Amino acid sequence: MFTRNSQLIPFFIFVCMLPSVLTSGILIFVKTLGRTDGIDLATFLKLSIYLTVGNTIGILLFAPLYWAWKLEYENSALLKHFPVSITIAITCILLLSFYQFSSIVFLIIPLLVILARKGNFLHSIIVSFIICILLSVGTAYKLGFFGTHLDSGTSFETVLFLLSIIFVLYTATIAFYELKLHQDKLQLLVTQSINSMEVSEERYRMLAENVADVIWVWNLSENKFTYISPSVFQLRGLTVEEAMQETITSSLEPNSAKEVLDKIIRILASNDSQPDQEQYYYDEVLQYKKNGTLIWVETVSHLVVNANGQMEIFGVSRNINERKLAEQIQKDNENQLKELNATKDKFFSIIAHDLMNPFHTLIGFSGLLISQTAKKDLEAVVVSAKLMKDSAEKTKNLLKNLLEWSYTQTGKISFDPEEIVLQKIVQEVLDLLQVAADQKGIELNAEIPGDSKIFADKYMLSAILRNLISNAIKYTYSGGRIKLSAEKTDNEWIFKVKDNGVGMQPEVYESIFNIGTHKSELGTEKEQGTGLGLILCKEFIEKHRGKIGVQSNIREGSTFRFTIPL
Amino acid sequence: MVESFKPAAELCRKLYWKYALFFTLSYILSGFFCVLQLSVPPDNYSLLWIPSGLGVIMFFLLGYSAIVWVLIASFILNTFTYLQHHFANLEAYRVFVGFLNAAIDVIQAFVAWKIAIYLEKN
Repeated sequence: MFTRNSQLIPFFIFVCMLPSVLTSGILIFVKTLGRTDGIDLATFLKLSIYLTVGNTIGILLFAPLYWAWKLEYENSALLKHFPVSITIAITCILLLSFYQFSSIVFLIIPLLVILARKGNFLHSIIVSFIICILLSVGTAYKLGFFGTHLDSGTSFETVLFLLSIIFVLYTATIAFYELKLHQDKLQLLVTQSINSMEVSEERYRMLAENVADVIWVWNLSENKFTYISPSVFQLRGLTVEEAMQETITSSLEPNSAKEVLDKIIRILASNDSQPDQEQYYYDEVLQYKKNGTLIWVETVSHLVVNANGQMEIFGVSRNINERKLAEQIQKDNENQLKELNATKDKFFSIIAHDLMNPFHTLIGFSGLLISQTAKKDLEAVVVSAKLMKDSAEKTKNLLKNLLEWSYTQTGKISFDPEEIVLQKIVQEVLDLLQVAADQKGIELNAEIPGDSKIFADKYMLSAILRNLISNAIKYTYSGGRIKLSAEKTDNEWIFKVKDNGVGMQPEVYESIFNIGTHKSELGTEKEQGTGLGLILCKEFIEKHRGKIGVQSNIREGSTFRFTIPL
Repeated sequence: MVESFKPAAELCRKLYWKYALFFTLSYILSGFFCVLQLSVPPDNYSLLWIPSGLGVIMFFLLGYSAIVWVLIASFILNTFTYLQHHFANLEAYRVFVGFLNAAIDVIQAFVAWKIAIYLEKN
């Protein structure tokens, strides 16, 4: 059946007109065979066209009726009131034009347009049939507009009028049918799209509301959240309404908020330069829970433009608190392992080198001692014995430090703080080291508040002071000065050991408390050290929950400062 | 036969004779109606020729067998009615011309039918 005018026109030309044209000429020729007067070309053509049009109308009336009956009759309301009324009206107008007001016949044209709009193709065929029959009968009986004006050319005009009426009616009907078809298709598409969108929206809403992660949308123009999924309650203990009231600054820990705000500025700048490039951003931020505690949250976000043309950040947040804690533990373990490894390296280094050297000395001088004894060179024996004694003393000190350090590392050293008189313990240390200071011509002073007491481990405090002062003696030139001072503040004791010795480069004094990087250097008179003294100091001070630091300038001296909390 | 014609063609096969006779009769009567009621002077040609449409429909419904039925209907129509008004010649000549006219009508309906099928296929 015709559903497009592009189908009707070929049908009209090839099915209706072409066979009629082919056969009409032959028919006229056959009919002239019996005539004696012959027929001129003009008449021949006129009759041929006349028959062609008559035949064309016949085919045009009946052939589409076949398809209309076959395809549309059952589905269409043939007896719909309006098309039937129009059909009756057209019939009445035609009949009226036969008896009165013949020109009224042209009123059927607008009615045909209305019929084309309201009826279907079957209605148009029936009406065309009625018009053709009635007008032809009227014309044949000299009734109506064409009948009353009948002359030799009237019949020709009538058939052309009929053909035009049928063709226009069919074309208009199909045009309206096409329009309706497209309208219905469009409506169907719109309905399907709406349904699809509703289903899709419902699906995404279900997803958003049931995932453990929090889905959120931050509107940059309005500077507020426009959507937060209900899972925010699981993440932060907030209801959606409460979370929607928050801002970036209020919901995040200050440093995280600053990082996020800075990043937004960078993202917007990046988006301005590359607007078509969709990029996802991954962040780990600290966010407040409802009870004020902080949790680590990972966010994945990207910039979108909403339906109103506003910039929005669409993001998904996930609780990574446990992961961060695990990472921290892992990091701590890693640092501990590094430290242990450095400790091990230092230990082996001491054993391999520092402990071996004195033995070389002892073995060497003991051999020398044997030969000197044999030669009875008593002066030389005394010198060698003295050197052997010094070497043995150094080895003993080294072993002592090593033992203490190993005790601190293994936790075997006991920490027993008690009330002790500071002046007394300082004096003991000074007495011990005074000889070494005098040997180098170093002035050793102490400025300690009288009768002051300190709550500390006696042994450890003594070791700290001893190590720091002996260290100062080691790196101070002859004629130098060393000053030990102690000051009590509201919550701690502050000790300072100041010298005017060689001083240190910044990179040196930044590493002197680290066992992995510190190396002992020779003193001003080539004194050797174990490299463990300062590290032991640090360990002992940290046992007291104190801190140690150093200020130093090269060739101006160093000041070691440590604190012992009250 | 084209798919869309199959139901109607099937129906026609079942009621073949009835349909064939009905349309043949309709063809002849509509021809009479056109000649008697719709002819206008001076040539007394009908303003429209309903049998041409019915001939195409017969081909749609009956297929190739419509050739015979259209030929019969058109022959009767042309021989006894149409030609009677125009020529009063010998019977044999009238029969010849009637047959020739009938053959032309068959050709017309057949060509229209074939083109319609071709158009529907494409």
